[in-house]
Amino acid sequence: MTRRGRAALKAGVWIGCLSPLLALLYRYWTNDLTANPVSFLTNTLGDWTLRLLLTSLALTPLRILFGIGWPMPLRRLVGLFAFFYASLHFAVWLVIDQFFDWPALLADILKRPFVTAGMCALTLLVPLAVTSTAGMVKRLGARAWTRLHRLVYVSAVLGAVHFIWLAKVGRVTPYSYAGILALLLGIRAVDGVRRLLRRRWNSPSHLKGDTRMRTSLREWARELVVLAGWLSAQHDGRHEDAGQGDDVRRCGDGHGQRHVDRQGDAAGYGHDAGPGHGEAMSQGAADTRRPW
Amino acid sequence: MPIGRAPRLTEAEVTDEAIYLNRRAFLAAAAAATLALGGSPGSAGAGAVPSALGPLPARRNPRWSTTEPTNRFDEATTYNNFYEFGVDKDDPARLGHLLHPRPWTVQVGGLVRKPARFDVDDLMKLAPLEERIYPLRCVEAWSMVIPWIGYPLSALLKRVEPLGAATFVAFTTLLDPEQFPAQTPPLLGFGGLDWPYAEGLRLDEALHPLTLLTFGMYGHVLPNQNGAPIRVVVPWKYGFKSAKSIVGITLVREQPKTAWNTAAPQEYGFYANVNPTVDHPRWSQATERRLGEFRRRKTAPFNGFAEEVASLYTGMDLRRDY
Repeated sequence: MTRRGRAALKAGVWIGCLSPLLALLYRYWTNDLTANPVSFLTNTLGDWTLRLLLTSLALTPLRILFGIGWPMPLRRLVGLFAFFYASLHFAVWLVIDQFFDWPALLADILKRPFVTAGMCALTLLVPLAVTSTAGMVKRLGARAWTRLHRLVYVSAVLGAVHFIWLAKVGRVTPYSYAGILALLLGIRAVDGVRRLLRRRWNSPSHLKGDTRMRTSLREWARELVVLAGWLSAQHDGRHEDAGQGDDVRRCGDGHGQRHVDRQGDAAGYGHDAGPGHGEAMSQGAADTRRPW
Repeated sequence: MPIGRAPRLTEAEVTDEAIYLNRRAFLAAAAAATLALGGSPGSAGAGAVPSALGPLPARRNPRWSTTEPTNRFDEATTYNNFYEFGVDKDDPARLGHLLHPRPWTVQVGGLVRKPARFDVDDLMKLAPLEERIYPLRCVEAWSMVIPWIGYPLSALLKRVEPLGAATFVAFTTLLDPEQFPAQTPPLLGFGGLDWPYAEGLRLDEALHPLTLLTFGMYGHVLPNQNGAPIRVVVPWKYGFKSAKSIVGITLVREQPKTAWNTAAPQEYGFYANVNPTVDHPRWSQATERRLGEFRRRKTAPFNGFAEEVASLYTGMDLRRDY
C-alpha cells in the first residue's frame, strides 16, 4: 500500500472511531440524551468499547480466513480507541454516576461480579495501551511484547462477561457480542493449532512455501476438516493405548470406524488432495475437497 | 421524603366535600380550564402534553400525594420499561401507536360474588377520579415523580365483593402480538418473559388506599406507552409490580405466578417492596437516580410510604420475602 493510501486509511479509522463520540456530543447539544442521560452515556460508551474491541480482534481472523492482510496495521489504532471509550465509560461511572463515592464504588467493585469483571477488563487494557508504542515494542522485545498483548483476549472475554452479567433477562445483544468474540477467538485457536501441526508435520506438500500464512477460506476449511479427523484419530489412539479390558468394550463399534477415518485423513493430508483421489478415501477425507 | 413528614391533614380537611358533591360542575370547570390553559390544572411545569390525549381532569388528593416536584411529561413518556413493545427504553414511545386502547374491556372475576366484565369507559365512572402524585421507583435504581389519575383499586374490588377465600389479586395484561410486537416469540427464543404479563398483589395490599386503579396522568388519559387505557400503580413497590394495559383482574386463593418473578426469581421477588437494605443481586438498591437530577439520592424504605404500609408486613422477614 502506498504511503498516501495508508494515511487515508488511518484518517478513515480516526473519523470512524470518533464519530460515536461526536454523535454523543451532538445529542448533548440538542438536549437529546434521553430522560436518563447518565445511563444513556454509560451504555453507549460501553457499547462502543466492545464494538471497537471486537473490531480490533476481527482483523487477524480476516487475514486467517480470507487472506486479507491490509487492515492488520490498524489493530493498534482501533485497539487504542477501544481503550479510549472504555476509559470514558469508566469516567462517566466514576464522576457522573457515583460522583467519587469511594465506599460505594469499592463495594460495587467487590460485591457486584459484573463491576468486578468490567474493572478487570479495563485494568488489563492499561498495560497494553501504555506499551502500544513502537519504542515499547523494541524495549520489551517482540516476543515478550506479543506475549503481553495476548492479555487483550482475557480483557475482551471479561468485557463480554461484564455485559452479560449486567443485562436483564430477555436481552440478546450481550450474547451476540459474546458469540462474535467466541468465533473470533475460536478462529485464532484453530489457526494456532493448525500452525503447530504444520510445523510438527514438516510442511505437507500442498502447504510448502506458504510461509506468509496467507490462506484462502477454502484451504482453511479443508485443513480444519483434516484437523478434526486427526484429533479424532488421536482420541482413538488414546483408547488404543489404554485399550485393555473395559475400555475396549465401551468403545464398541465406533472404534473400528474411527480407525478407518484416521487412515483416510492421513492419506488426504499427505497428498495434495486433488480430484481423482476421492474414490480411494474414506468419507472424512473426501470432505476436505468440498468446495466450501 | 415529604410523604409522612408533611403535616398530617385530617380526612375532613383533605376531602373537599363540596367538590365531590358537585363533581360534575367541577369536572366541567376543570375541563374548561384545561382547554383554556392548554395544560392540566394539577401539573404545572409538566411539559407539553400532546393534544391527541384526551383531558382527564381530577382534583389532587394531597393526603396520598408527595410534595416533591413532578417530572416532565416528556420524561415520563419517553423513558419506559414496557417489554411488550421491546426491551429498550425508547421502544414503548416508538411503538406505542400500535396499541388500541379503545374499545377495551376488563374481566373482573375469580373468587368474587359478582364477577363482571367492564367497559373501560364505564369503569372510569365507578368512583371519583383523583390525582395522586407518586414517586415511581424502578427496580433498575432510577425513579420519577408522576401525577397519576385514578381511584383506589379497593373501590372496584368492593364492587365485585371478594369471597372469604380470596387472598391474592392477579392482574393480566393484554396478550396480542399485533398490538404488542415483542410478544411475538423472537427468532432465537431464549430468556424472555412469559406472555401475557402477569402481576399480583396480596388482597390487603390491593385494598390499601394507596393502590391506585389508574386511567390517566398529567391531567390526561394514559399514553399508550404508560399502560393505556388502564393500569395499577402500587407506589411502595418497584415499578414492575404495577401492571399495565390490564384486561383481567382475578381474585385467587394462592399466590399467583408473576412475570418477572418467574423469569428470574432470585432477582425479582413477589413482594418487591422498595427496600434500600435489600440489594438486587447485581446492583445496590440503596440509592437511585431521580430522572432530571445530577446526583444520586438515597432510596427511602417503601419508597417513602413506610408509615402507611409497613404495618402490612409486620412479622415478615422482608430479606427473605423481598
